[in-house]
Amino acid sequence: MENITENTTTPIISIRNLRKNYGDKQVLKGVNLEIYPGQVIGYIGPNGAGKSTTVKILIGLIEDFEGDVLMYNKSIKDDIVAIKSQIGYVPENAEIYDVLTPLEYLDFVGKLYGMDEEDIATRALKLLTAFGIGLNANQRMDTFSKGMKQKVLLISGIIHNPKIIILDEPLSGLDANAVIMVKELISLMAKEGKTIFYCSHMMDVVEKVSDRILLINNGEIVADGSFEQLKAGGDQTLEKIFAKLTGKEEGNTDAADVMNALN
Amino acid sequence: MLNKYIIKFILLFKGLYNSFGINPNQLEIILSTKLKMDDRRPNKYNQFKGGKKKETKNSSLLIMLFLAVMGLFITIFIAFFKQPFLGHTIYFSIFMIMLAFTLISDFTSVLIDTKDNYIILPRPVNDRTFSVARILHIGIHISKMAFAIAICGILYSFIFEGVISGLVFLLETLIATVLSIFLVNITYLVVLKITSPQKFKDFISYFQIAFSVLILVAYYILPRLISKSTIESIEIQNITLIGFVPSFWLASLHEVAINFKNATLSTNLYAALAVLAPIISLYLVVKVLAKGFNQKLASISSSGSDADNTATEIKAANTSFMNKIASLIAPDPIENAGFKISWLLSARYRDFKVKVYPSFAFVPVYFVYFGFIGKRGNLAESWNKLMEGNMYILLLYLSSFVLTTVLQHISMTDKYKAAWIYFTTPHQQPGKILGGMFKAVIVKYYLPFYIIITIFSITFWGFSVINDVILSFMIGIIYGLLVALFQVKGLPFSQPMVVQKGGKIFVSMLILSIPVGLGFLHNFAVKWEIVIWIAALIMSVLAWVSFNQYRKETWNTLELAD
Repeated sequence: MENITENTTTPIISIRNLRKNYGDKQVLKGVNLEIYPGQVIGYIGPNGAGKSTTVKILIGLIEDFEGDVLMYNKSIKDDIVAIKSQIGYVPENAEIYDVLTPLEYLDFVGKLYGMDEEDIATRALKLLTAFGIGLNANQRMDTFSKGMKQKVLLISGIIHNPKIIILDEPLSGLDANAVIMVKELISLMAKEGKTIFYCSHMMDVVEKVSDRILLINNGEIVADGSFEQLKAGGDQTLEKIFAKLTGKEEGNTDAADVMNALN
Repeated sequence: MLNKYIIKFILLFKGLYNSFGINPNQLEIILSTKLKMDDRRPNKYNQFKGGKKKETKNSSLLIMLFLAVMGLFITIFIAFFKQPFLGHTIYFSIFMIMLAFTLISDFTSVLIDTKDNYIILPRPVNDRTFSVARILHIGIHISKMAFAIAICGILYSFIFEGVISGLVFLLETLIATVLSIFLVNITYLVVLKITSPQKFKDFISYFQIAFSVLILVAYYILPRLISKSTIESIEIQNITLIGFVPSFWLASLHEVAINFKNATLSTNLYAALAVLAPIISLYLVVKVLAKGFNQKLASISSSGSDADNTATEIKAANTSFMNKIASLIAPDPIENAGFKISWLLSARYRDFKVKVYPSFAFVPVYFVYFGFIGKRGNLAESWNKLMEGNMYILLLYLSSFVLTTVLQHISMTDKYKAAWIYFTTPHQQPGKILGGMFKAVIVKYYLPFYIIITIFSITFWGFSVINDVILSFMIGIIYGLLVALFQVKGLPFSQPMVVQKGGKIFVSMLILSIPVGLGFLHNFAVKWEIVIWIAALIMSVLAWVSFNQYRKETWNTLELAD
């Protein structure tokens, strides 16, 4: 992957007319995007809008899609393995081999990225300590809380120091201090030129950490811009913008239905 | 240690892997991690220890040891039955069944594990490395199991029957292994064809249950029902349709190898079939079945995305029966809730079903064991003697095993944390939930069993058994209530799996002595019909009082999970 070079003026990820069907259901209906190095993309949308499918295509889990996805100007279909070595991924669900200890798990992941055993051990221990679970480094994870597992997952997504980081609900289960730490980490990594693709339902966090927000609804990008640009439409919070663009303009309609059901 | 040598052996072919585009370093780390996880995975053979989720180590070795002991037992067939075809046909029939059952019940979870999709596939691992690692992992697992079952047979053949016989035995083992894999593959495909991917995991649970019952039957009944002389008198080659049994082909191969000059044409043909069958089945697995198989497996794992979310629909008809019964016998709202939650969760939690359902087989198995085993004469004579006595009483009392097994497990599950709901809802008397739970257990598990046994008893012993049925049923309920009062200290599915403490084992023995003692008294008094009727009435009142006592359980007497 040494031949991959980056330039802040050329997109690091280009998505062109991306389409994906599951049977008769069209999940992505021609998504077009250009993402540049150092950007923190907040990727939001209602359930079933196509977020997970987009992420799965970007990390190479779904290969049968229509359109093009280029990373470093190379189609991911041509050499997905080389591209994967530059990506860090943290999945939405705490999918982890929990019969292993954090150190064993991180050793496994690090080696899949071709890292040296000693480097993995040193870096893993530093990261585990930084996340506050250094003392649990040699305990099996099947007794860990959701938050502790999430921390290990986060570490496994960045242990190889990737250039592109795809985070799918990374704050799930984390305590307040860890949330603050991850938010700061995202900003620092972006400053270092890393590209962050951040999927979440937590609007307030997306609003704060992202310098560009993409809103997908029914398989189409319906909003693309910084929070300030999106605010120009008149709505002052991302929640309101989200509700408006996803057809819930009267944001309280569902809540009113719930109240009616209770009365 | 064993895993280390296996990995070393596999990595001897590094050059070959490189030439095929497989990354040997990644292959090594994936395989070693997977084998390490296999050793830590709870399995079919250690799950009945009832252990708290303590760290499992050397799980594979434990399975291998268990299978080796089973292998030792079945080696008896080749050691003692020297007639042509007989020993090898029986040995390899059992070998293939054991291997196939072990693979289905213990390795399916590995096969359909979707974690790899999120842990390995997003990393820079190419498809070939990933696929080869998966195939080798499955191959290593199967080889370990097959080797463990066959090791005693192999050693016996080499030591007592000579090198040629030993080598042929090795070949037979290899063929039997391939055919077992084929069998498993076909089973999976058939199941996936007739059921939805979501139900596939349920099927595996039922398979585990069937396996437990099979082991139970094999352990208690077969060795005592079938004598050596009965088996020796079988001329296996003359049995109709024996030519369709793969293990007979293997026995034929053995016959041809050690007794070539006397082999008949049909024996030669079956031996040829033994050699051709694995080749044909491998071809079918790789070229025809694998594609559909992988697609089906993918469909099991593709839930939870934008794609499907096809929830398991519960038909109203499935729950309307339960609703009717619940409102009839548990009208109190809290008791009703306890009844329904116990009824529904016991049907849907796999860990509960796997632990409890095999006990349903205990009753008929023990009945056959006590009724027939050790009796002189043939089966018909034993049956006649059985009819003359009061053996139905034993059958009736054995049914309480079902009740106690269900009760001992109804408060336990891996998903016990969901029980927070009990503790946040405003009810003073958890005994009402327990009462509902107890009623659900009686109606759902004890009563159907009892009805079947009653019909069986009335059919063979006549209507005079009715008072015995009522008395034993009430004693069963009292026994169940004592178990519930002293041993089940948790609300339905609210506690983690725990090891029974020494004190509790003593208590359970003490409680068990009550139905045993009363059962003996019952057996003694059976000829005085009026005594049995009076006893039945007394026990009914006692059962009612005990139930009301149980219904008054308070939060203080309950054991709460962390």
